[in-house]
Amino acid sequence: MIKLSRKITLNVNGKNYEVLCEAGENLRDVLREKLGFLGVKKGCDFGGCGACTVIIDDNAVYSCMTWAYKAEGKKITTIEGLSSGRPLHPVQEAFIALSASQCGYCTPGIVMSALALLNKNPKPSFEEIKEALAGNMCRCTGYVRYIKAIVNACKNLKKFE
Amino acid sequence: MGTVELEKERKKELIYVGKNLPRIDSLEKVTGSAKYCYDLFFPNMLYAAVVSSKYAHAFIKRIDTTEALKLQGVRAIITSEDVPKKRKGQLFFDRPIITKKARYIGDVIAAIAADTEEIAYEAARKIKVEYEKLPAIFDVKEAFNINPKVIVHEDLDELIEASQGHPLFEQDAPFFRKILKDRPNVFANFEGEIGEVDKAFKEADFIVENEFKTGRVYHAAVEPHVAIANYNQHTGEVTIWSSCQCPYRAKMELCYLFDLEPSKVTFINPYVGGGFGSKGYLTIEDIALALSMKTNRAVRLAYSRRTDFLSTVIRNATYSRIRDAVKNGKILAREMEVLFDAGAYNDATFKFTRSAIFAAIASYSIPNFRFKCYGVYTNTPVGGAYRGFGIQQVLWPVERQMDILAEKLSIDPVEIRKRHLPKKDGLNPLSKESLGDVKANECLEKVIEAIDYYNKKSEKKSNGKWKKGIGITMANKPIHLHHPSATVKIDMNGFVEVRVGVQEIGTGSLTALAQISSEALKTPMEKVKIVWGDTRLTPYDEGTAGSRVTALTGNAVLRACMKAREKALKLASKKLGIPWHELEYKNGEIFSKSFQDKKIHINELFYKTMYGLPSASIEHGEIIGNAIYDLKEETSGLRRFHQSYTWGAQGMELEVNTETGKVNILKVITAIDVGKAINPELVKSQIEGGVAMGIGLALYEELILNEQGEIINEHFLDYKIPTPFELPLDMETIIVESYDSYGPFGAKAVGEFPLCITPQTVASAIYDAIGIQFYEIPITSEKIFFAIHGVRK
Repeated sequence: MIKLSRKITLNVNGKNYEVLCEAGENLRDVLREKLGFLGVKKGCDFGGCGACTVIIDDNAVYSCMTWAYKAEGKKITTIEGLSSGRPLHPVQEAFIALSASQCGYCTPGIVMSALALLNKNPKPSFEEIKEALAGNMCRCTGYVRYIKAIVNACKNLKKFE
Repeated sequence: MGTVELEKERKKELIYVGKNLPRIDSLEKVTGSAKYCYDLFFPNMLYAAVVSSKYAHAFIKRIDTTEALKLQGVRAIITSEDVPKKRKGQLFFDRPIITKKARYIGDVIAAIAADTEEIAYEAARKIKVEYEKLPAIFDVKEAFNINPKVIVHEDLDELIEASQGHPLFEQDAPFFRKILKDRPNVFANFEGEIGEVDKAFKEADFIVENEFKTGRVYHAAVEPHVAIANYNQHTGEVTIWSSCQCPYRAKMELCYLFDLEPSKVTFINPYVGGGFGSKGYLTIEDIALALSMKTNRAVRLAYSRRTDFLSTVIRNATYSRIRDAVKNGKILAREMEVLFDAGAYNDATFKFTRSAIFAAIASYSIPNFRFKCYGVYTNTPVGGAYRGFGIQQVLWPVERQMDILAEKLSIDPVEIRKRHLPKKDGLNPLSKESLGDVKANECLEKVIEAIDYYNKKSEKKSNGKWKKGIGITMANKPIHLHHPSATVKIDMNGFVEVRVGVQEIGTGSLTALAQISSEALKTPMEKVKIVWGDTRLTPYDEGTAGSRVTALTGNAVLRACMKAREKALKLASKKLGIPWHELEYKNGEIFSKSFQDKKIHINELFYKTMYGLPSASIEHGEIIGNAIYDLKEETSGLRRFHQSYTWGAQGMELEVNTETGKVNILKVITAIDVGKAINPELVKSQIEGGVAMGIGLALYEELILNEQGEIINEHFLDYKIPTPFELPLDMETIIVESYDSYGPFGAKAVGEFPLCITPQTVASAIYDAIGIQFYEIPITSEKIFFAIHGVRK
């Protein structure tokens, strides 16, 4: 197998990481297996489940559908960057209060999708929340509690800032 | 401990049980710090991949690994020659670890271990397989025939004989197998009759007979199957990390297959990213172990999503038939026949054929009942346990038939159900066990009222192309027995450690166990730690399956808590000079029931060590309670097959677009009799999730096989489970409490129930909207469209 690889610098959760990447390597595998951000989940092979959702600059994206080298120079946020060394984000608090997660495997992805939404739209409607979560597959919950919790979280966004 | 004392304990005022306390695993899950098996990587580990059959039925003549072995980094390739010859399955043992004869597309025929996953996959592509293709059979009714064109297991007779005396065969498994010599693809049958069915049919006013089907469904747990095996060639010890719901069961299976001494095998199982039955027993741990034994390295076999679709298990398709004799507006006799399409191997189908019928018979009071239930092989993907364990597949025909009978009798579908409601403390005519405190009628009445059934039913339903419909159905879910155990330790600070052999797969049952422990020891939840997920630390349990953890393991936990408490009280009794039964335990303190100032802190019962810390207690060592839960003890040896029955009713409003066939679910109300709800909010969250899954099954989900028997929608882009847009936000759960005399604090079960009821309610409401009865799920928009506008063949 011929491989093309080079060192790239990724900015994850505000810190720079230098990592050797292959040309066809996706961001999910680099984050999980090379940098140890295991809160980024792997639920399918590509683009099917949303468990690997991270925020790049301001958008929630599937990290499995992003070439690692394409993320160079951008600001990547994973679930680990959200509450490390700080209080929980209101979305996380609200998920706990409503027992929104069940198996929890989709939860980090859903938290990231919700965060990207609220950063742009701090008072979303039910329909806008559904739209934001439409790419995050959850088999356990029926989404009811996630959606209601996101609405509840909006009330506490100001406090968090 | 005596039953009387337990009973007293249960009836006391409750502090923790029945409260909506937050889940104990939420914090880890919302911060992404919860670890799943898919997140585990070890130094010096190898990565595995499998090669699966391209044909639905074929002998593997030759496997050429020359090219694959040339790849740098390939460490081992194994085939059927390299694995133990024993077979696996639940109560019936037919599946090789790696097969020599492929019986479906996806059957594993070789496995590779390599330095990276990429190399393993590349090697899999380079392995050349020479097949001898055989004719295949895909239709369950054809396979069931006396002279089927294809026999899937030519050695069925030998398999049946071998499994009768099998060490893993539960000798008290209900109703032993009868061999059907003339049907070579039938490996499981369960037949019986209650009352006099033939006589009843002669007396009938009229007879109604219908056929029903359920499709193949994928579990779609978001974490795919994964196992890491480490064999130590020097000590012979085996460690398995896997995404398993039932570690002990998987461990015993693995020990049997590889002739391992159980004390040398450890299963470590972190959080499971959803199971729904697909990870209920040994799944891919055996393949990982065979590779580890070959390479003497740790081997990680993490299925890709595609392999997970093709090579694990799915939900059985079923074909069923109901024939009813109706007299004076009531069902006098029912004849029911169910074919479970097992696919290529038994997996858990043998068990379904026995377990599901109990629910079908319990559902309504019908005096004469004949049932025939079969497990049938075909060359299709393997049917395994799926939330509900076959019960939705048998309640689908039951509930559909009730609606059809109502139509024939020109009465309301609710009315026909009311005429046949099971009675409180009635017996299941098959098992002769009491159905318990049946709240089926209460559930039904609550749903009728909450959804405003009769008013809604008479309303004008049409809004242009959209037609509204409303439906109500009923269901029950019997909970099978097993023998869970628990160990509880109270430490010198009054902290409680509860050790259980069950998993947290998402249901929240560990939180329920913590609440039960808190209640028994009057100790706040923050001071209760549940230890789970490692067979070196936890006592035996059949695992997290069958809606059983709260109701059964909860009983073991409650008993173990009471035993630990008794030890603490007896020690304190000596210090205080008060008889132990006059003492009370609360949050690390032992005090006299009559004089509350006479008390002692638990740490005074411990010796001080040379380091100044209290360690072991006087006389007993640590304060530990051990218990196993065995229902037989409580029923004075009276045989029960089930712990309890969960009853319920569900109402649904929906609208159907008559131009496109699209269905929007508007409102779902589920009333459920769960006995005592240990945590009402968690009961509700289980219902919501189960309803969502049930809507998926009812309207969208089906694995589609092409003419070669290959799944063609083996990706989440093609196999769609419901997104937030397909599900209603308006989901209400009404908990109808009863008191189950066998459950911890009166609790019954919840997990599987909502899936067992929802598809039937969808079909009922669709009929109300457009006047068309559907006989099979999924009821896709396409099927609705052609049913309205004429069938396109």
